[in-house]
Amino acid sequence: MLSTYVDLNVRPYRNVDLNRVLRIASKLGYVAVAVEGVDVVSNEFNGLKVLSRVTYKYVGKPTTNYEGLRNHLIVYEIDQPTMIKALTSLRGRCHLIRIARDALTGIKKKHINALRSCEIPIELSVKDLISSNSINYTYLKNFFKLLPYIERGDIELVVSSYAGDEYELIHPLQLIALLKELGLSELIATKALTGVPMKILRMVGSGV
Amino acid sequence: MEFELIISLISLVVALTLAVYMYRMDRRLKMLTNAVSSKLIIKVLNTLKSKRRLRKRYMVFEVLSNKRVGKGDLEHEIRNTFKKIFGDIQLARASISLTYYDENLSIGVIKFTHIYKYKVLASLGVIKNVGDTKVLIIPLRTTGSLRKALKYIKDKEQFIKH
Repeated sequence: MLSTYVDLNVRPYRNVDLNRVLRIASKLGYVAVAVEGVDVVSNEFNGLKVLSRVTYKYVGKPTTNYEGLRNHLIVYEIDQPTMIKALTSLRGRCHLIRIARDALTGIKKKHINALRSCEIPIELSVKDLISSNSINYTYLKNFFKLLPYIERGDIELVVSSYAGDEYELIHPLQLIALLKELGLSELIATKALTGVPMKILRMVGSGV
Repeated sequence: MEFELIISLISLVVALTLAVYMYRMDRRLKMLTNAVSSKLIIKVLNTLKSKRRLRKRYMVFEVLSNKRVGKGDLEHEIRNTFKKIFGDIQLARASISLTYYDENLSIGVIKFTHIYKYKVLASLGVIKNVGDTKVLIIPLRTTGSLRKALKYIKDKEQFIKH
Protein backbone atom coordinates (compact mmCIF):
# COMPACT_ATOMS: atom_id res chain seq x y z
CA MET A 1 0.00 0.00 0.00
CA LEU A 2 1.22 3.51 -0.80
CA SER A 3 2.24 5.59 2.16
CA THR A 4 1.67 9.04 0.68
CA TYR A 5 -1.44 9.93 2.62
CA VAL A 6 -2.69 13.48 2.29
CA ASP A 7 -5.27 15.40 4.32
CA LEU A 8 -6.52 18.34 2.30
CA ASN A 9 -8.69 19.94 4.96
CA VAL A 10 -7.47 20.85 8.42
CA ARG A 11 -9.20 23.88 9.96
CA PRO A 12 -7.91 24.40 13.52
CA TYR A 13 -10.16 26.03 16.12
CA ARG A 14 -9.07 29.42 17.44
CA ASN A 15 -7.65 28.15 20.73
CA VAL A 16 -5.84 25.17 19.18
CA ASP A 17 -2.10 25.15 18.58
CA LEU A 18 -1.48 24.35 14.91
CA ASN A 19 1.90 22.79 15.63
CA ARG A 20 0.27 20.18 17.87
CA VAL A 21 -2.20 19.25 15.14
CA LEU A 22 0.61 19.01 12.60
CA ARG A 23 2.72 16.87 14.94
CA ILE A 24 -0.10 14.37 15.35
CA ALA A 25 -0.83 14.43 11.59
CA SER A 26 2.82 13.58 10.97
CA LYS A 27 2.62 10.79 13.58
CA LEU A 28 -0.43 9.35 11.85
CA GLY A 29 1.56 9.00 8.64
CA TYR A 30 0.34 11.92 6.55
CA VAL A 31 2.91 13.43 4.20
CA ALA A 32 1.00 16.61 3.35
CA VAL A 33 -1.71 18.68 4.97
CA ALA A 34 -3.69 21.66 3.69
CA VAL A 35 -4.51 24.15 6.44
CA GLU A 36 -7.22 26.78 6.36
CA GLY A 37 -7.91 29.83 8.51
CA VAL A 38 -4.38 30.06 9.95
CA ASP A 39 -1.28 31.74 8.55
CA VAL A 40 1.13 29.01 7.57
CA VAL A 41 4.60 30.15 8.64
CA SER A 42 6.62 27.28 7.22
CA ASN A 43 5.95 24.99 4.29
CA GLU A 44 7.36 22.02 6.14
CA PHE A 45 6.95 20.64 9.66
CA ASN A 46 8.82 17.49 10.74
CA GLY A 47 8.89 16.25 7.15
CA LEU A 48 5.19 17.04 6.71
CA LYS A 49 4.39 19.33 3.79
CA VAL A 50 2.03 22.13 4.84
CA LEU A 51 0.14 24.29 2.39
CA SER A 52 -2.49 26.98 2.70
CA ARG A 53 -6.03 26.45 1.56
CA VAL A 54 -8.68 28.99 0.63
CA THR A 55 -12.35 28.05 0.43
CA TYR A 56 -14.89 30.18 -1.44
CA LYS A 57 -18.64 29.76 -1.21
CA TYR A 58 -20.02 28.95 -4.65
CA VAL A 59 -22.81 31.33 -5.60
CA GLY A 60 -23.30 30.45 -9.25
CA LYS A 61 -20.05 31.82 -10.68
CA PRO A 62 -16.37 31.69 -9.78
CA THR A 63 -14.41 34.53 -8.22
CA THR A 64 -12.68 36.57 -10.90
CA ASN A 65 -9.22 37.00 -9.44
CA TYR A 66 -7.02 35.14 -7.01
CA GLU A 67 -4.54 37.85 -6.16
CA GLY A 68 -1.77 36.74 -3.84
CA LEU A 69 -3.01 33.16 -3.78
CA ARG A 70 -0.24 31.49 -5.70
CA ASN A 71 0.66 28.09 -4.22
CA HIS A 72 -2.68 28.03 -2.36
CA LEU A 73 -5.18 25.23 -2.64
CA ILE A 74 -8.36 26.81 -4.03
CA VAL A 75 -11.63 25.14 -3.13
CA TYR A 76 -15.25 26.01 -3.81
CA GLU A 77 -17.75 24.93 -1.21
CA ILE A 78 -21.29 24.05 -2.15
CA ASP A 79 -23.66 24.22 0.81
CA GLN A 80 -27.00 23.87 -1.00
CA PRO A 81 -27.92 21.13 -3.48
CA THR A 82 -29.58 23.75 -5.71
CA MET A 83 -26.15 25.31 -6.24
CA ILE A 84 -24.85 22.14 -7.89
CA LYS A 85 -25.39 23.44 -11.42
CA ALA A 86 -23.30 25.00 -14.16
CA LEU A 87 -20.19 23.70 -12.47
CA THR A 88 -18.31 23.59 -15.76
CA SER A 89 -17.54 27.30 -15.22
CA LEU A 90 -15.31 26.19 -12.34
CA ARG A 91 -13.14 24.07 -14.58
CA GLY A 92 -9.62 25.50 -14.49
CA ARG A 93 -10.67 27.93 -11.76
CA CYS A 94 -10.33 25.70 -8.70
CA HIS A 95 -8.66 22.50 -7.55
CA LEU A 96 -11.49 20.94 -5.63
CA ILE A 97 -15.22 21.18 -4.91
CA ARG A 98 -16.26 20.59 -1.33
CA ILE A 99 -19.72 19.18 -0.82
CA ALA A 100 -21.00 20.36 2.56
CA ARG A 101 -23.32 18.25 4.69
CA ASP A 102 -26.49 20.16 3.72
CA ALA A 103 -25.66 19.95 0.03
CA LEU A 104 -25.29 16.19 0.20
CA THR A 105 -28.57 15.81 2.10
CA GLY A 106 -30.77 16.85 -0.82
CA ILE A 107 -28.66 15.60 -3.70
CA LYS A 108 -30.52 14.28 -6.76
CA LYS A 109 -29.66 12.58 -10.05
CA LYS A 110 -29.39 15.89 -11.96
CA HIS A 111 -26.93 17.20 -9.35
CA ILE A 112 -24.83 14.05 -9.67
CA ASN A 113 -24.80 14.50 -13.45
CA ALA A 114 -23.57 18.08 -12.97
CA LEU A 115 -20.78 16.80 -10.73
CA ARG A 116 -19.86 14.18 -13.32
CA SER A 117 -19.72 16.63 -16.19
CA CYS A 118 -17.57 19.23 -14.41
CA GLU A 119 -14.69 16.70 -14.03
CA ILE A 120 -13.34 18.33 -10.85
CA PRO A 121 -12.61 16.09 -7.86
CA ILE A 122 -15.11 16.41 -5.01
CA GLU A 123 -14.25 16.52 -1.33
CA LEU A 124 -16.23 14.93 1.48
CA SER A 125 -15.38 15.27 5.17
CA VAL A 126 -15.23 12.50 7.72
CA LYS A 127 -16.34 14.97 10.39
CA ASP A 128 -19.72 15.24 8.63
CA LEU A 129 -20.00 11.46 8.45
CA ILE A 130 -19.13 10.74 12.06
CA SER A 131 -21.26 12.15 14.85
CA SER A 132 -21.17 11.20 18.55
CA ASN A 133 -19.20 7.95 18.14
CA SER A 134 -21.50 6.75 15.39
CA ILE A 135 -22.22 7.27 11.71
CA ASN A 136 -24.65 9.97 10.61
CA TYR A 137 -27.53 8.09 8.97
CA THR A 138 -28.78 10.93 6.73
CA TYR A 139 -25.31 11.71 5.45
CA LEU A 140 -24.58 8.05 4.82
CA LYS A 141 -27.87 7.52 2.96
CA ASN A 142 -27.00 10.30 0.52
CA PHE A 143 -23.38 9.22 0.28
CA PHE A 144 -24.64 5.88 -1.04
CA LYS A 145 -26.23 7.74 -3.98
CA LEU A 146 -22.78 8.97 -5.01
CA LEU A 147 -21.05 5.68 -4.33
CA PRO A 148 -21.68 3.88 -7.69
CA TYR A 149 -20.38 6.87 -9.65
CA ILE A 150 -17.25 7.08 -7.50
CA GLU A 151 -16.70 3.34 -7.82
CA ARG A 152 -17.09 3.55 -11.61
CA GLY A 153 -14.57 6.41 -11.78
CA ASP A 154 -17.08 9.00 -13.07
CA ILE A 155 -16.50 11.18 -10.01
CA GLU A 156 -13.12 11.51 -8.31
CA LEU A 157 -13.36 11.51 -4.53
CA VAL A 158 -11.09 13.08 -1.94
CA VAL A 159 -11.77 12.35 1.71
CA SER A 160 -10.48 14.79 4.30
CA SER A 161 -10.76 15.04 8.06
CA TYR A 162 -11.92 18.69 8.44
CA ALA A 163 -10.24 18.45 11.82
CA GLY A 164 -10.49 21.32 14.28
CA ASP A 165 -8.04 19.81 16.75
CA GLU A 166 -5.72 16.80 16.97
CA TYR A 167 -8.48 14.50 18.30
CA GLU A 168 -10.58 15.05 15.20
CA LEU A 169 -7.85 13.73 12.91
CA ILE A 170 -8.23 10.16 11.74
CA HIS A 171 -5.62 7.53 10.95
CA PRO A 172 -5.47 6.88 7.17
CA LEU A 173 -5.79 3.12 7.64
CA GLN A 174 -8.90 3.60 9.76
CA LEU A 175 -10.35 5.86 7.08
CA ILE A 176 -9.61 3.34 4.33
CA ALA A 177 -11.20 0.59 6.45
CA LEU A 178 -14.27 2.75 7.03
CA LEU A 179 -14.67 3.54 3.32
CA LYS A 180 -14.21 -0.14 2.54
CA GLU A 181 -16.91 -1.11 4.99
CA LEU A 182 -19.20 1.51 3.43
CA GLY A 183 -18.89 -0.28 0.11
CA LEU A 184 -15.99 1.31 -1.76
CA SER A 185 -13.32 -0.96 -3.15
CA GLU A 186 -9.96 -0.86 -1.39
CA LEU A 187 -8.31 0.63 -4.49
CA ILE A 188 -10.73 3.57 -4.76
CA ALA A 189 -10.65 4.11 -0.97
CA THR A 190 -6.85 4.27 -1.04
CA LYS A 191 -6.93 6.57 -4.06
CA ALA A 192 -9.22 8.98 -2.18
CA LEU A 193 -6.41 9.48 0.34
CA THR A 194 -3.32 9.11 -1.82
CA GLY A 195 -3.58 9.30 -5.62
CA VAL A 196 -6.21 12.01 -6.14
CA PRO A 197 -4.91 14.40 -3.41
CA MET A 198 -1.35 13.97 -4.69
CA LYS A 199 -2.53 14.88 -8.19
CA ILE A 200 -4.17 18.01 -6.75
CA LEU A 201 -0.98 18.89 -4.85
CA ARG A 202 1.00 18.75 -8.08
CA MET A 203 -1.57 21.11 -9.63
CA VAL A 204 -1.20 23.53 -6.70
CA GLY A 205 2.50 23.78 -7.41
CA SER A 206 1.85 24.80 -11.01
CA GLY A 207 -1.04 27.18 -10.19
CA VAL A 208 -4.70 26.80 -11.18
CA MET B 1 -2.33 -72.19 13.71
CA GLU B 2 -2.21 -69.11 15.92
CA PHE B 3 0.35 -67.52 13.63
CA GLU B 4 -1.94 -67.92 10.60
CA LEU B 5 -4.85 -66.37 12.52
CA ILE B 6 -2.79 -63.31 13.45
CA ILE B 7 -1.63 -62.87 9.86
CA SER B 8 -5.19 -63.07 8.54
CA LEU B 9 -6.39 -60.57 11.15
CA ILE B 10 -3.64 -58.11 10.24
CA SER B 11 -4.42 -58.45 6.53
CA LEU B 12 -8.11 -57.87 7.28
CA VAL B 13 -7.34 -54.66 9.20
CA VAL B 14 -5.04 -53.42 6.42
CA ALA B 15 -7.66 -54.19 3.77
CA LEU B 16 -10.34 -52.35 5.75
CA THR B 17 -8.10 -49.31 6.27
CA LEU B 18 -7.28 -49.22 2.55
CA ALA B 19 -10.96 -49.46 1.67
CA VAL B 20 -11.85 -46.51 3.96
CA TYR B 21 -8.91 -44.50 2.62
CA MET B 22 -9.92 -45.21 -1.02
CA TYR B 23 -13.50 -44.21 -0.27
CA ARG B 24 -12.35 -40.88 1.21
CA MET B 25 -9.95 -40.20 -1.68
CA ASP B 26 -12.69 -40.97 -4.15
CA ARG B 27 -14.99 -38.43 -2.52
CA ARG B 28 -12.25 -35.78 -2.53
CA LEU B 29 -11.44 -36.50 -6.18
CA LYS B 30 -15.10 -36.21 -7.11
CA MET B 31 -15.30 -32.88 -5.27
CA LEU B 32 -12.20 -31.64 -7.08
CA THR B 33 -13.41 -32.66 -10.53
CA ASN B 34 -16.77 -31.07 -9.81
CA ALA B 35 -15.08 -27.86 -8.76
CA VAL B 36 -12.84 -27.70 -11.80
CA SER B 37 -15.32 -28.76 -14.42
CA SER B 38 -18.45 -26.83 -13.56
CA LYS B 39 -19.97 -23.62 -12.22
CA LEU B 40 -19.57 -25.01 -8.74
CA ILE B 41 -16.13 -23.36 -8.36
CA ILE B 42 -17.45 -20.31 -6.50
CA LYS B 43 -19.76 -22.45 -4.40
CA VAL B 44 -16.96 -24.81 -3.39
CA LEU B 45 -14.60 -21.93 -2.63
CA ASN B 46 -17.26 -20.24 -0.50
CA THR B 47 -17.89 -23.49 1.38
CA LEU B 48 -14.17 -23.90 2.01
CA LYS B 49 -13.91 -20.27 3.12
CA SER B 50 -16.81 -20.60 5.54
CA LYS B 51 -15.27 -23.76 6.99
CA ARG B 52 -11.89 -22.09 7.51
CA ARG B 53 -10.76 -21.92 11.09
CA LEU B 54 -11.30 -18.52 12.64
CA ARG B 55 -8.03 -17.24 13.99
CA LYS B 56 -7.39 -14.57 16.61
CA ARG B 57 -5.71 -11.27 15.95
CA TYR B 58 -4.23 -8.83 18.43
CA MET B 59 -4.13 -5.14 17.54
CA VAL B 60 -1.79 -2.86 19.45
CA PHE B 61 -3.14 0.67 19.70
CA GLU B 62 -2.33 3.95 21.37
CA VAL B 63 -4.84 6.33 22.90
CA LEU B 64 -4.26 10.07 22.70
CA SER B 65 -6.31 12.04 25.20
CA ASN B 66 -6.03 15.01 27.51
CA LYS B 67 -7.27 12.98 30.52
CA ARG B 68 -6.52 9.44 31.64
CA VAL B 69 -8.95 6.89 30.20
CA GLY B 70 -9.93 3.81 32.22
CA LYS B 71 -9.75 0.29 30.80
CA GLY B 72 -13.40 -0.50 31.51
CA ASP B 73 -14.70 2.71 29.92
CA LEU B 74 -12.54 2.19 26.84
CA GLU B 75 -13.62 -1.43 26.35
CA HIS B 76 -17.27 -0.45 26.78
CA GLU B 77 -16.92 2.35 24.22
CA ILE B 78 -15.15 0.10 21.67
CA ARG B 79 -17.87 -2.58 21.98
CA ASN B 80 -20.65 -0.01 21.93
CA THR B 81 -19.35 1.71 18.79
CA PHE B 82 -18.83 -1.60 16.98
CA LYS B 83 -22.39 -2.58 17.95
CA LYS B 84 -23.81 0.74 16.74
CA ILE B 85 -22.19 0.39 13.33
CA PHE B 86 -22.31 -3.35 12.61
CA GLY B 87 -24.90 -4.75 15.03
CA ASP B 88 -25.11 -7.36 17.77
CA ILE B 89 -24.52 -10.43 15.58
CA GLN B 90 -21.29 -9.10 14.10
CA LEU B 91 -20.14 -8.04 17.57
CA ALA B 92 -20.66 -11.56 18.90
CA ARG B 93 -18.87 -13.09 15.91
CA ALA B 94 -15.95 -10.67 16.13
CA SER B 95 -15.57 -11.52 19.86
CA ILE B 96 -13.83 -8.26 20.69
CA SER B 97 -12.10 -7.87 24.02
CA LEU B 98 -9.54 -5.52 25.45
CA THR B 99 -6.86 -8.00 26.49
CA TYR B 100 -4.33 -5.54 27.83
CA TYR B 101 -4.32 -1.83 28.61
CA ASP B 102 -1.57 0.19 30.24
CA GLU B 103 -3.14 3.36 31.62
CA ASN B 104 0.25 5.05 32.15
CA LEU B 105 1.48 4.48 28.61
CA SER B 106 -2.04 4.65 27.09
CA ILE B 107 -1.22 1.60 25.00
CA GLY B 108 -3.49 -1.41 24.75
CA VAL B 109 -4.12 -4.66 22.92
CA ILE B 110 -7.48 -5.55 21.48
CA LYS B 111 -8.34 -9.15 20.57
CA PHE B 112 -10.72 -10.04 17.73
CA THR B 113 -11.40 -12.64 15.03
CA HIS B 114 -9.16 -12.27 11.97
CA ILE B 115 -11.92 -11.69 9.40
CA TYR B 116 -13.13 -8.60 11.29
CA LYS B 117 -9.89 -6.62 11.06
CA TYR B 118 -11.28 -3.88 8.80
CA LYS B 119 -14.49 -3.62 10.82
CA VAL B 120 -12.53 -3.20 14.05
CA LEU B 121 -10.24 -0.61 12.40
CA ALA B 122 -13.26 1.32 11.12
CA SER B 123 -14.99 1.33 14.50
CA LEU B 124 -11.79 2.47 16.26
CA GLY B 125 -11.65 5.37 13.81
CA VAL B 126 -15.21 6.38 14.64
CA ILE B 127 -14.53 6.62 18.41
CA LYS B 128 -13.97 10.28 19.24
CA ASN B 129 -15.08 10.40 22.88
CA VAL B 130 -14.80 8.12 25.88
CA GLY B 131 -17.23 9.57 28.39
CA ASP B 132 -16.48 13.29 28.35
CA THR B 133 -12.88 12.84 27.26
CA LYS B 134 -11.88 13.49 23.66
CA VAL B 135 -9.75 10.64 22.34
CA LEU B 136 -7.87 9.61 19.23
CA ILE B 137 -7.13 5.92 18.85
CA ILE B 138 -4.08 5.16 16.72
CA PRO B 139 -3.61 1.56 15.50
CA LEU B 140 0.07 0.62 15.72
CA ARG B 141 0.39 -3.04 14.75
CA THR B 142 -1.65 -6.21 14.27
CA THR B 143 -0.11 -9.51 15.38
CA GLY B 144 -1.14 -13.16 15.47
CA SER B 145 -0.27 -13.77 19.11
CA LEU B 146 -0.52 -11.89 22.39
CA ARG B 147 3.15 -12.62 23.08
CA LYS B 148 4.25 -10.72 19.96
CA ALA B 149 1.89 -7.84 20.74
CA LEU B 150 3.28 -7.53 24.28
CA LYS B 151 6.84 -7.76 22.93
CA TYR B 152 6.07 -4.85 20.59
CA ILE B 153 4.76 -2.81 23.54
CA LYS B 154 7.86 -3.68 25.60
CA ASP B 155 10.17 -2.60 22.75
CA LYS B 156 8.22 0.63 22.36
CA GLU B 157 8.41 1.30 26.09
CA GLN B 158 12.19 0.82 26.05
CA PHE B 159 12.45 3.10 23.00
CA ILE B 160 10.48 5.82 24.82
CA LYS B 161 12.71 5.47 27.95
CA HIS B 162 15.90 5.86 25.95
